[in-house]
Amino acid sequence: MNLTPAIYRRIATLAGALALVMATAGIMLLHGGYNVAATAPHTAPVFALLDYASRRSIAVRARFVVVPPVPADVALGRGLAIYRDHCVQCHGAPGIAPDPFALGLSPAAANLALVARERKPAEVYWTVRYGLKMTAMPAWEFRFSEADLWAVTAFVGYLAELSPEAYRDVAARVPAPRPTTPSADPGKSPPDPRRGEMALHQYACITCHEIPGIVGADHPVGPSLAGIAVRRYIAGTLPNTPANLVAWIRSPGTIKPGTAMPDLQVSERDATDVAAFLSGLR
Amino acid sequence: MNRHPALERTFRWLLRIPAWLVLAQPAFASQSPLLAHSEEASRTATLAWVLFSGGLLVFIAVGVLLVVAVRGARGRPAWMTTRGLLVGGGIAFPAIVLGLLLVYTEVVTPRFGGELTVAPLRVSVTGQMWWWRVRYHGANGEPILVTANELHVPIGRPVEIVLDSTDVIHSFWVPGLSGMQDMIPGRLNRLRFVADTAGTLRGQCTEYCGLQHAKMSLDVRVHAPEEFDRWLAAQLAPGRAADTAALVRGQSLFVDQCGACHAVRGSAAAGTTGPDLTHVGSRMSLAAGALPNNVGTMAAWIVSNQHLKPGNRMPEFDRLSGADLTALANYVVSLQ
Amino acid sequence: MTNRPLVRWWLRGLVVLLLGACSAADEDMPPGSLAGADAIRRYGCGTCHIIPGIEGALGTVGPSLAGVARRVYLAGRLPNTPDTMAQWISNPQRFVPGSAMPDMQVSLADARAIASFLGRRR
Repeated sequence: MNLTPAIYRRIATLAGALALVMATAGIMLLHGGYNVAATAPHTAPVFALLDYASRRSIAVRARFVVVPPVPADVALGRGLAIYRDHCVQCHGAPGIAPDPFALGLSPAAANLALVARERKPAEVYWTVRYGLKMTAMPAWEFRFSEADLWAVTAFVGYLAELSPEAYRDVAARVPAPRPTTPSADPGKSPPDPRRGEMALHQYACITCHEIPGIVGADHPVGPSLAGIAVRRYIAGTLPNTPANLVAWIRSPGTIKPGTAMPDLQVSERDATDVAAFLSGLR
Repeated sequence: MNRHPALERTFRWLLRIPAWLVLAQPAFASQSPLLAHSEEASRTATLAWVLFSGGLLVFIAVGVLLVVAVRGARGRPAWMTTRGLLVGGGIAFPAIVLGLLLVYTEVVTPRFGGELTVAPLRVSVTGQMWWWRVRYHGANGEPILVTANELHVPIGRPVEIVLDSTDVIHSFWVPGLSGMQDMIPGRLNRLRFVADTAGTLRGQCTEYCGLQHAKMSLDVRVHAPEEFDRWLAAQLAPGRAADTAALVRGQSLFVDQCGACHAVRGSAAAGTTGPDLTHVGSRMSLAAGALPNNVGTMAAWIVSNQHLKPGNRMPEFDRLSGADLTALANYVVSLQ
Repeated sequence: MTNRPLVRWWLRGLVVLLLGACSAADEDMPPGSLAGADAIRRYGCGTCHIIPGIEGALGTVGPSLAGVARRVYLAGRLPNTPDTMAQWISNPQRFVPGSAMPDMQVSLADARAIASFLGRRR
């Protein structure tokens, strides 16, 4: 193709326009042009874009989820109990408001009765399990077993059919569930560093430690975890062995009373996975 | 013949650099062969200066001749073109000067023959990868003191160092005291000197002996005679007794974990694989000059010595709890 | 090379520059932190800690001290101020009994100098 002066001019014009756009965006960002306050809602186009992207992302990824049958008594028993104890605070229930702190969330926690009508169970399960970035929805796979996740997903499916009185009746009759965690899973899986990396986010480790290779882990409240695999001592007192690292993660207060590192109720499986990830940080 | 004014000017400028800029200042005074602490080292240093000065004079003379020669036939004085200069200055002069220097070198180089009027202090130094086992011998040649990585000698008394090695060839060199001498497995080499100036010196292994050859140095102290006797008496005493609860704990850990390889006279630890630690707390450095000597570096060495001196023959003791490590390090450092 | 005085001065400057290379291998430090760096070298802190700016300080026994000035807590429990850092350095066993960091008899003056040095390394 012959590069004539005309074509050069066209390329130059496009490049110049692009540079101008980027410069404008850059200046806008630099001067805090985009208001991130929760009280300043998105503009309609931005909201539509984010909403559409979120729906499509969940829909495509949930395509591979296989929905198991969940008996009604499990859904309305264990599922309801979990919903009442962990979801009502943000999502509310028929006739019941979310807790005050959750009323101002941006994006707001969806009304799940509507979600039950508009979304497939696989998509609900996917959202419950993996959470939603940039929202207050956590990844519940780190707090509940697989069976529990399906139980609560199945319950959400019933929400559209429960009137406020019916919900109140059923919820009152179900006792508080025994807590189970993923580590109660019967199958013993080998330590999984990738899952450990996720756990670092889910237990908010990144809010206190600089961790190389993890986006957003840049907060020096505690010591950096760079090179922890070759460090000889954990917390200044424990020789650095996998078992000691797991023990420290699960119960820092027992090992070093008065430490600023809190007890995060980390399950043994999660602690082992985190230790597996950290053993790669040389 | 072309003239090269630029080249000429450069040469002339270089010749103006003051001589003191050229002469090497001793960078590390404790390890400089030009700062002698014994008669032998003094003679060697003098020889070095003589050779250097002579060489410098010849270099300057030749440089001047070169510059003049490069100028071309017009500027060359008549005497420069005679054969006499060529034969006399180019053959006879070097032969005579080098011959004289050879004789001088032979005369000055330390020799061992001759009777000793005073019995020398005999010290065996065995090179091991990568530390020095040092044994002092009594009047009858029997070993009276075993220590490591440090050599103390008195002023005014001949010292004979018997050198050998248990693994590969090392070489013993304390520049302030004498020249180098190899330490060859299966062979005893000897080195003799008489120290004449007190001070703290540093030696080095000068034969490549493996991964940590660069971290095999020797601390040397030259004492006045009374001071040396006091030092020797202190070293001959057994290790400090563990007299507090913390030291008792440290000592029991030591005997348990370290006694298989290290010895502390006066305790149950009697291993001979590694350096004797009876008075390690009083040494000038740790790990053959690699680390300063204090409780912190001692703890670091115990726990992570492979990181500090990779490949060295001591394993890392990195399963001790923090409290145990502190107790152990405090005990070892208390062995003054 | 036609200007003789210029060449002369240029070469002199080169010699002076080369002589200036004969200095400590540590990176340039702000004034006032020399005492801290010197204390760190004397006590051998680098045998246990990685300390940027100190040659050879690559220890892996304790945590790296890179960016320690930005940290909120020292030793997991002390709020990080120059004072608490100096107190920690001079007496670690008081704050964390059983710590692997032994009491090294660091004088308070040395501890303050070290804390000042580390405090500039953000």
